[in-house]
Amino acid sequence: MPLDDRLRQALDDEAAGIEPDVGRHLAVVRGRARERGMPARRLAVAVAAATAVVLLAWGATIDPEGILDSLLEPQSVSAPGASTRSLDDDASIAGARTG
Amino acid sequence: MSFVTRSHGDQAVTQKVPSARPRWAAGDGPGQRASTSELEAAYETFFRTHFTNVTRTVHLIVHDRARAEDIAQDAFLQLFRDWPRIAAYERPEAWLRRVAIPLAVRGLRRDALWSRVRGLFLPRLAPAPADPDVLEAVGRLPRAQRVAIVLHYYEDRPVAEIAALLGCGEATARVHLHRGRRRLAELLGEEGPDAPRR
Repeated sequence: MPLDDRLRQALDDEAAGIEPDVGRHLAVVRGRARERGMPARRLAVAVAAATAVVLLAWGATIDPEGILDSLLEPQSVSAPGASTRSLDDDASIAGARTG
Repeated sequence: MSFVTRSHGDQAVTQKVPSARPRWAAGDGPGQRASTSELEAAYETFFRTHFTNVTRTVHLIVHDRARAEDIAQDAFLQLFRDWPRIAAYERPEAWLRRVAIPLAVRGLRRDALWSRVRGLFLPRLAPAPADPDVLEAVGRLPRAQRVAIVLHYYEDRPVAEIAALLGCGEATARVHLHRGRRRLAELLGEEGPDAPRR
């Protein structure tokens, strides 16, 4: 048999043995297509949940009255990480620069 | 040439048939857009008509049935996402092959890379037999030659289409086909055929 015919015959025979379950694959493709639409929604839910957790944790650890006091009396600010330099220090620095 | 699936009792049999060109997205009248349910139904029909043959072609290229089914699925998934647009094309199956064939080629490229990596660490396997059968010989061709041979001999694609599917010029596709046939003739101990004319 000529090579061309042999080749055609072999490829046709091999291909004929492949009979995928088309219905199952169709269902899988549809399922995957639906999943593809999900990430944006999942991301939004995850961000909302994370924000809620952070807000709850913040609300539990912060003392609202303390914050109010600190706002009304700026000189008594002593929140963690805040500068401990006083207004007097600023005045002395300003005096040193000018004089 | 195109492919059609027919039911014979419980079994669906897919066969090569002369092209009948359905307009998958056509509404009832000219210029009418298909509704969502019509599109869904058209997609299902298209899927049932073409899935088997895309899987078969990809299988002949990658020589791995499970992976061929995965690749066909990926291609049909991409089609699903763009179906409202693609359905209006004259030949959506051509678009589908332009997705599926490169996916198969990419798979072969990954295989080649892995076999090179494996070769660095593992002892080489025994050499392939001196007189392989036709399919084994096809499997030993470089990927571009293999794809060209499968598309030409199994799908009866002309050189121009093979070039489009491989993403190369017609002359290059012709060279792939010619070298593939010559290599096959060597592997199978036969005289090489003439170059493709189409």
